[in-house]
Amino acid sequence: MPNAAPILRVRHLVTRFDPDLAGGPEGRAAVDDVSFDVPRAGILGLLGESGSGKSLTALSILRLLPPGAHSVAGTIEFDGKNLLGLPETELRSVRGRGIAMIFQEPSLALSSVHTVGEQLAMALQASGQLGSRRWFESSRRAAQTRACELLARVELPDAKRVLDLYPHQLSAGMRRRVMIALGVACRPRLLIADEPTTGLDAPIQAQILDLLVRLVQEDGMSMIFITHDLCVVAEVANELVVLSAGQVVEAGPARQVLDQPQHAYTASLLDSIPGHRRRPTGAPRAAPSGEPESGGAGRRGAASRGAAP
Amino acid sequence: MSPPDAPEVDTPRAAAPELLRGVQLSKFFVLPRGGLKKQRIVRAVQEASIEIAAGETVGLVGESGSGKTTLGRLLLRLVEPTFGQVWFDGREITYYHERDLRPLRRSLQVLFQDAAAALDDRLTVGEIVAEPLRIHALTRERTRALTRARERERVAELLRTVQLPMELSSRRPAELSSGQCQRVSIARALALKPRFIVCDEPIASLDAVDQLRTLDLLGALQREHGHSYLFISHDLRMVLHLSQRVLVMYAGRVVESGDARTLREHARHPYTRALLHAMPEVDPKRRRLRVVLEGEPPSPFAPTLGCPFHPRCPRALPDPCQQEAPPLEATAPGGRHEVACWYPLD
Repeated sequence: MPNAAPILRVRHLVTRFDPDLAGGPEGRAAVDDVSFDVPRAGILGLLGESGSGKSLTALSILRLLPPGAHSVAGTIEFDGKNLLGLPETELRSVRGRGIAMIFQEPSLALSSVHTVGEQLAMALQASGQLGSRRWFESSRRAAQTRACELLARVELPDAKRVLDLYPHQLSAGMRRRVMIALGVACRPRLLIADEPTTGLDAPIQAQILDLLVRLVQEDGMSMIFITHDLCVVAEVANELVVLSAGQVVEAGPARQVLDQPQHAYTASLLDSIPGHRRRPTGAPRAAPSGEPESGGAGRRGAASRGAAP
Repeated sequence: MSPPDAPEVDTPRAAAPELLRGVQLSKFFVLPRGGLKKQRIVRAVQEASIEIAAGETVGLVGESGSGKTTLGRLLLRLVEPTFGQVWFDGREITYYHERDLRPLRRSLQVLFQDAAAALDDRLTVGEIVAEPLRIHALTRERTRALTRARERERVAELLRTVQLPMELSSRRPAELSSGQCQRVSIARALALKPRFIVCDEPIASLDAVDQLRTLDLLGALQREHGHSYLFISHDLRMVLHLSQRVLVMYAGRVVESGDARTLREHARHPYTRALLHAMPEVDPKRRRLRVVLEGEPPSPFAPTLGCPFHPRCPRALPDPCQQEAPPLEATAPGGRHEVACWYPLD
């Protein structure tokens, strides 16, 4: 499996905010020369603190960047196609079916005025999975059935009842499951999960992690798992990329990076886990100093290295 | 004192005088009836007892909604108990009038989870830290100018203590990072030289590196000033690491309490064990078991009959687990390790 060509190949990606948009006159590179491969049927962990550019990297892949941010250099190859060069219309067919995303905050990503069933049906309809729409009723029933199946796949008990509920009527753990159901609704080949367990209590977090790993294994899906939590990423990821201030500071097989971190930043993250004893090899034990650099601020050199065209 | 299998050096702490005590505290919130909704009662905390000695750190762990924040607020008398008593420094303060509580407020401080939200964003850092000094007139001198000068001195000293540069004192919270905001609130809490600080998820919204630095700072401050902490968190690993004693809450009740080391190695309540096993681990040798806790915690609106944990408990039996809530009892006579379970694990 690891010998197969990677499903996603990111090379020298630079995503920059427009000048005068919270980044000073030069514009700031929130993602700065980032390269990595996502193995086929594997899980890539993207680890970094807030402001390290991990979410923006993911949004760059799907071209869902916030206003003012643009990917200005590099390539993102998905299945041999460079997504950065793709026109918007073609990219739309990649979103959902090719690459799907589970967003960080269910309360923002789910619509609060549609029931869970309606939202799942919309995703299914948009992906064209419901076949012809000549008979509205039958398509509706098909959506219902498929939505029920999806909820069962993400192990939501009592799926039939949940279809008619609104997101606010669900617990935090259930909302995450609905988000995951939406993410896998179109049977994507690559799933990007942005902090899928952040803010959950440990037992629920463990349930969700098990679920994600199982989905990846069953479907032969690939996944990018974005998190700030080293312990969580250690549980799920095969490959690991550590980001800091928009740049890759360390990358490699997850086990190797965690056992023998080569970079002082990774080592300091490991040291910040209470009770964790790192093996006394690899990088020197460096006490972190100063504020964590946020998105290139303060790094003049990188920020001024060629302004956006 | 401690269980025979954990020969800890317990004596200095055992001798430390008790500072704060909650006795059988309960808090029921009544949600107002509105529109078509019926009036509902939330049993946030039920019969929770807690003792905190001077200079001690006690951890309080549980899932969201388990009542840990409410228990912390009950101890500070920020929330009135429905039943039970609060004792501080040998005096019962359950029924103290707000006026009489005021001098005690100096000794009882709190750090909130979202530090940025806990700071007034219209005040500068200097004003925020000086505010408690003014309220309690701690820096009052004969003239206004002298008072201000003393105040500035003390603010500078406090910012130094929390390792913030003095330049920040003219900034406003919005200009600070979340780690810096948390340190400003630590400085504000320290301004009154408290004897007890409730830390309610103080690091949950911080980055890993900031978390470590904040914890180090809290530890160093305790060694210097000798105050006590109640450390509230959903993160059992963090709590076990920081505290001398730990209470585990589930659905408003304390289900297990004991020395941190005892709980780490000999937790006897199935819920505590499940929490321990649910923690993700970096080390593959300590990787959590794949058997995780099924289901979700009960809704606070619909209290469970019997043991609150029985719907998720692998060991639960129809009788007595589904009939009667187990009392919190010491595992050995006179011991400090207590568990509320009809069939505790070995």
